[in-house]
Amino acid sequence: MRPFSYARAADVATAIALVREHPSSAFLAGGTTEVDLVRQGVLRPGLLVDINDLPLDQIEDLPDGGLRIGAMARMSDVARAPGVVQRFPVISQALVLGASAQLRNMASMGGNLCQRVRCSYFRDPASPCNKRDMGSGCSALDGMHRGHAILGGSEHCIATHPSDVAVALTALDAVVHTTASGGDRMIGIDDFFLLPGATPDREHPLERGELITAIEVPGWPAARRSVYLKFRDRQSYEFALASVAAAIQIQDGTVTAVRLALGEAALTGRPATAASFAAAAREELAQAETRPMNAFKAVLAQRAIVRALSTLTDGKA
Amino acid sequence: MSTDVVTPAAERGPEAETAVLTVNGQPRELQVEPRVSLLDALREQLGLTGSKKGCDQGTCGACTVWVDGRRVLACLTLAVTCEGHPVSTIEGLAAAGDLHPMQAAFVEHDAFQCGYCTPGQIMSAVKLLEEGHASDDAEIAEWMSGNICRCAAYPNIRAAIRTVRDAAGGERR
Amino acid sequence: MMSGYIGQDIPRVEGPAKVTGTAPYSGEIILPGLAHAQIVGAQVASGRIISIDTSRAERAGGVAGVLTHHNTPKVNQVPLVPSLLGGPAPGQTFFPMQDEMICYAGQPVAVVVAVTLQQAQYAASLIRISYAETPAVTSIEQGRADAYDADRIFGGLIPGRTARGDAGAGLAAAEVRIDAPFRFAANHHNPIEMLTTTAVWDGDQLTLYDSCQGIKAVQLTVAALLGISPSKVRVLARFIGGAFGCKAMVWPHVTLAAMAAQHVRRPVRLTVTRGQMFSSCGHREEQEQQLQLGATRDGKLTAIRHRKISVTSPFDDWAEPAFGVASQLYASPAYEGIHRLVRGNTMTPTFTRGPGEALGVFTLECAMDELAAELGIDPVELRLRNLAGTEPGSGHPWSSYGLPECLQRGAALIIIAPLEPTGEPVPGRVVSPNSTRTSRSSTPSASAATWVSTVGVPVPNSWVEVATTAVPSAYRWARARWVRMKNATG
Repeated sequence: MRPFSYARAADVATAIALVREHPSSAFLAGGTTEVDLVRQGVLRPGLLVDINDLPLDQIEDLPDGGLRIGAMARMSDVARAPGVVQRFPVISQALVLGASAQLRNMASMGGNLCQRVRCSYFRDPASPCNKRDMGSGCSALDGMHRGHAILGGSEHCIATHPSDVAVALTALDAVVHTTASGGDRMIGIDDFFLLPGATPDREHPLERGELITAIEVPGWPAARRSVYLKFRDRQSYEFALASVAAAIQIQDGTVTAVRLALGEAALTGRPATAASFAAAAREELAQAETRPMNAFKAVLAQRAIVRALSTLTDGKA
Repeated sequence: MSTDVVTPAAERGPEAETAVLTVNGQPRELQVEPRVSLLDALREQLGLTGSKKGCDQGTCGACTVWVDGRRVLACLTLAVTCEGHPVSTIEGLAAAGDLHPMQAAFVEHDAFQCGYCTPGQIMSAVKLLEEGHASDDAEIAEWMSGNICRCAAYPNIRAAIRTVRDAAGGERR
Repeated sequence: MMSGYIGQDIPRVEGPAKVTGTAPYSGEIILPGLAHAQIVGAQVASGRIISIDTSRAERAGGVAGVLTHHNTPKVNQVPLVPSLLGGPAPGQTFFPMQDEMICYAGQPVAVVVAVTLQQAQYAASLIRISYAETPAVTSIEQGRADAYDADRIFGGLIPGRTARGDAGAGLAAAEVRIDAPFRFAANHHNPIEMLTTTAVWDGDQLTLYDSCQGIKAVQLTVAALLGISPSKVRVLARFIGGAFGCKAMVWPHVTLAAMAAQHVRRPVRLTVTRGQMFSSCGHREEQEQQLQLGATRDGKLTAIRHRKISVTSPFDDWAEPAFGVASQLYASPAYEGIHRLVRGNTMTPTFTRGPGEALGVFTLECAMDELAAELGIDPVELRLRNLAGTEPGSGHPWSSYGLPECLQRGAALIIIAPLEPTGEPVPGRVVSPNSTRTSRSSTPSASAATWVSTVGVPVPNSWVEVATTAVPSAYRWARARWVRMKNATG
């Protein structure tokens, strides 16, 4: 890979200052995305700022029953944290269903949210890709797009975000905390993942030198009854074709609250039955835009939603 | 001289500079550029070729080593990030001439053919047991899924892991 | 005594070396002054190089030399001959970097040599090449209209057509006919150790540390290409990290490593990257097979027509031979197997795990299962009714013949169960090797609803796309079947 410089930051202020001051720099956390893509020639930093020493790896239980997950907490540590396992099983499940054991030991939660897409055209510098080079075209539209998006894509880009835990965090209305030289801010998870639209090169609203410090998950007792289902060709160690994070609250056979990764489904107030689930799923997928190789995902996603909710309500979660 | 010295914010590189890594308990000094992976540093500069390169992109697990006592992938780890973070490789698993119980079990159960994935499998398997994810074959397969064996020695790998688990009085379902 | 070990459970003698990471594989030989080489592969599948600018690469740190078609030595034309014949065995009748022509994507167009691996990899990325691209054919679909019947295949060793009797007449006379198409994606071996060659010259003596399946083939091939005596070439291969057929023939990277070492006058280690493995050592060709079976109502085959179409390189008529076992397994009076080829912009395919027979027998057996369903005959019984007491083509007696017993023992050991209804059959459904569907039946019976269950077993290399035929409405089943031994572990 191309040569680059390296600096290890001892504190947050140094880290963000370094990245802000060096135009072609980037934070280096677990490295599972960064090192890979620099080696592929997709990312071309001149300086990597190692943030692994920063004191951002705590996993805290909050008074409201929520969680504050430090950005540098490793996927594996979050997955087994008692508070996560007990109160937010969907997060724990999403984490352990992602990547491999080794990668989960390396990858940070902040890096997980910032990971880049798996589209093979994005990862190949020789292929036209609007995400890498806006205006050059999207090779996936008429190329190999079996794993690409049926929701949220645009004529410029149909790559999916590969993170599993992002789906769970989305279902739970998590909040991303960041810090930059100008101060701190909070970004709702729904606002953190930008749709490609006409700017596929912008995947999140972070400015250069803005560092994720923590992810907060609001307390919600119903999240104890939550599940993450992942559907993929292989049994393990593969990205999802379709996945769903779901949590549901039922009172006297009626759905009183439900969260799905795709947002609030039209389910609240409806009976907690497979028929309602299927109807809600159909509505969720009504806006899907499919292409020949990934059309199956529309059906798969609907069934995934129904399966997830049925799993929770049959007590098989 | 402490090997835990961490260079504060000072930039290094892109040229090669001195780094001191603790590998298998020993301080090892090397001249390394920031872009050099831990895997390449081990294999090319330290003569520790036991860790293997099967993909160089984090998908095969043949490069599995331990950093800070956790199983990780050396191909996606930059060597310079390991200053102050002890590294363990297959060469350090047992003293010369001895075999760690996992190594012995792999031989006993013929848990390899070509042997190229084997060091990574073993490094991964030892940690698997420490992590407590070997209760049954399904769990073993799931938590070892980051280690590919193209010769398909998987059933024998699992048998070796079960043997070590049971000898250690490990939990089984 | 040696005889005391036969039949015993003996640990591998190299076991301790492998589990301690001390076994030396070919890419781990440390030599003084060792430099590293990186191949640059063509970015187009067909065309020619208009210009190749290596100036930035040559100026990059640590670079000892760069080879392109401008300065690569001309090699002798050495044709592909399968390595099992004991002579020079290049994997294709083509050596890259001899001129500006591009024949397949990934074809080596440059080799960069540098002091460190990182320097070689980075310098390789600095080479700027412009191509005049021409339309490429890389799939059966793209080249089907121009397909031709092969006269000979497999390096000329095997005829393209295998036949006995009159298949057309046999099919016409049949009371029942089956027509079963199958489609297979190309497979790549991808052993976990990538191709790697370390080349050292000492005067005119060349030593190669090569990850290969035959040191003799490497020695003879490199010597033939370079036009030197085999006595000047020494090959060592102590430990190989898997091959599955891709390291049996000798591929260009081996000789390129020798050329690179000569060019920079120091030992050179050349390792192919994982991505390059898909265009460096051949593959199992993309292919379609079509089985037409004709039989009488009581299950006696009258004819087997077996067609295969596959993609080969621009240089060689290669197909893995599908009809060897398929033509001999059953006592059909008529058999016709034809290999058709599509000339494509790919490497010449190569030996891959059970070359030819793996797929040729699979498709025949699937067709036999369908015939059994159509006839309402137990699938094992159908085989037993069609076994050949002598070799069907020549009439020669078998030197030994355990097939009937094998079938009967297999039937006893293997779970025979009705398939679950799958709903509408899905044309071209991709079957995952790990998909698992099982259901138990009380007893195997002659019922037409009794089928071998679909259970996944690990298949190292292949994904199989299976196209369904018109399915009798009474039976709906997935075409691809995998069989699990009742006593299997795991």
